[in-house]
Amino acid sequence: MKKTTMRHIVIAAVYCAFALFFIVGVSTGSYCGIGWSEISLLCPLGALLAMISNLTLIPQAVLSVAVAAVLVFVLGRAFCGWVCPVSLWNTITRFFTSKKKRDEHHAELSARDQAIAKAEIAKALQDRDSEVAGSSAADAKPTASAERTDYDAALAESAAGIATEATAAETLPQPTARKFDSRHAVLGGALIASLFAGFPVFCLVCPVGLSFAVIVLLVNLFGAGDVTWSLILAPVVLILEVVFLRKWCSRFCPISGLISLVSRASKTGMPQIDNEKCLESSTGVACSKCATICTYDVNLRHPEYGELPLHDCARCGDCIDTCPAHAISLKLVNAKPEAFKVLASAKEVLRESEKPVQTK
Amino acid sequence: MGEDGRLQEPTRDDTSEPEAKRSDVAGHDTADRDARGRDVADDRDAADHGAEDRDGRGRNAEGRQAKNREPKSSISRRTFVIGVGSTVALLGLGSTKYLGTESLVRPPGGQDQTSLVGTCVHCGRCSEACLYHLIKSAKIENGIMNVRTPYLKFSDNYGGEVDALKYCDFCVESNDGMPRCVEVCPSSALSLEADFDPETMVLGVAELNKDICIAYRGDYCAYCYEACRKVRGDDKSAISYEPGSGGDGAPLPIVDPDVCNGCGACESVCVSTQATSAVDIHTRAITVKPLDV
Repeated sequence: MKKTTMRHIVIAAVYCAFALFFIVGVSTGSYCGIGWSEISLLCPLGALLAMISNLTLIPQAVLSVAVAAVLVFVLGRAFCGWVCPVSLWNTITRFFTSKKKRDEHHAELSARDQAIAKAEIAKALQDRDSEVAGSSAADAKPTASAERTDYDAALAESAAGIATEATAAETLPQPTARKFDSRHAVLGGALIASLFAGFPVFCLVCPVGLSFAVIVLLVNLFGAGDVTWSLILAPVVLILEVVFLRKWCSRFCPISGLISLVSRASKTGMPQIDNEKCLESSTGVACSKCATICTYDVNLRHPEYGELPLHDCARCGDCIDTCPAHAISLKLVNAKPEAFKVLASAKEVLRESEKPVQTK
Repeated sequence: MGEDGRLQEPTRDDTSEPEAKRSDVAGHDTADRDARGRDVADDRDAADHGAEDRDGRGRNAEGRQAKNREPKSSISRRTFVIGVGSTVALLGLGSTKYLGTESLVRPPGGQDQTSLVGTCVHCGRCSEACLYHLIKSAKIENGIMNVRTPYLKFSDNYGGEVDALKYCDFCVESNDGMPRCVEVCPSSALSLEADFDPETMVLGVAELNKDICIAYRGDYCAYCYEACRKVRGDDKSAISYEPGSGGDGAPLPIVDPDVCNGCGACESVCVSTQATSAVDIHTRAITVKPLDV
């Protein structure tokens, strides 16, 4: 089964489990606070907001933040990819978008990522070109040079083509992945607002909390005849957030902002590219499908050009499912990320402008 | 929405009012206008960031050639707009505290309502834990700050079931005297001192509405009286029956507010709504009110 399918099933299962337990009366809680009997854990953001609102240290809240930090250290942003219901709502929203719009959007992203890939490949080739030039000058074996001539010619040709316009370094796009982004700004805003107001303000509009609140409202409507404006307001606010703040996960969510503060230390369970198989590193052909498909706006191949940095990977598996060369796999412990390079063993180096661009 | 993924970012003046982007934070426009005062301070910040930005760009020509992998400025225009917009919106939401909130009958341990509302993370565990299903989530009609905080609802049943009373007994028998709701609350929004005594704990006071109470309207009815005696015992019952000027001299129930602990047995058993002696179907003749109302 594709990882994408699996994770949507897990998200739906968790949501249904919370709903079922609420209806039946098994006291497990919700996304905001989960537990068994007197053992419970809070949402780490809720914990911080509760403590800031009253300016007190709450032991269970502190513990919740600590436990969350440990979980994020081990699993990174996996909550976003495998538990958070907003992921499911986003997928459903995409389902309601017309195929034409989806394809247009995909083509736009694809064009962006391929442009980045081409520039990076050109630069990598140039870097390697200078390396090769340096080593072949020192190399005194005449036999090897014959084999390399064709290859070197192709290299020189592509490098020259770019060099006529500008040096590869100057045509590089601007890196976009930042250490802190708008989610952290929202996080700061949520903390400030709670400090000012004396109650956890963000929890009122948190889409995760609202997702569970909709269940509670429906159960109370049909079980007890409770008719209230909340019944309309909660789903409406949730829908507005999912539809209008459609980049919630990448640009707005303060929970993911909080998670990303710790996930930058996480080096486990992340997808890793096998450079021998990857089309870009092994053949110099621009691909970056992993970047285009990434639900969480990470560019796995060229991480500094993603909207979010590599540590914001939610382990969703979209890149793994989509790689045409099956070059990506989840690694238990990830190696230190190295700079992108085109392997010395690449046999074919095609002029980027000649290679037909294949979109989905 | 602008895409930062484009290769060439057009030069923009970061100090301009981000009007176009307000639509990003849908549905919070009134909050933006209310909290306009804060934007002045933020514009000064914007000027600083703008200067930073220009320095960054100025440096960048050399930076790019030196293989600089850092984005040109530590804060992008979009980050700034979203950050300010969301802070303003959340502050707007937070300022609903000035509207005040309705006082509600809270579960045990939640009588300090300011503390409760400030610490409750709306997880719903207390609601799930209550054996009698007495704890419900407050609605928006109870005030924005109260939304999804727990309160006790005693009238969520059919009245008249004296043998199956629903009331808060602080889980004295079922959980060794430690209220389940307090036990499961993850943020200690519901919290009790270690030496709390279920005998003396007060959740609220029962209040009798003489306009709709059946006994006061001329018919004999003793449900609440029976319920209170059953729960508290004959000697500690908070409801007494006085011979009165009800129809045919029928006795009338009277609540002693000093004795009542707000357990809710009377409200859960009251048959006024079933006997259609009511103004609306939800409010019974005898209801528990919070202490500070």
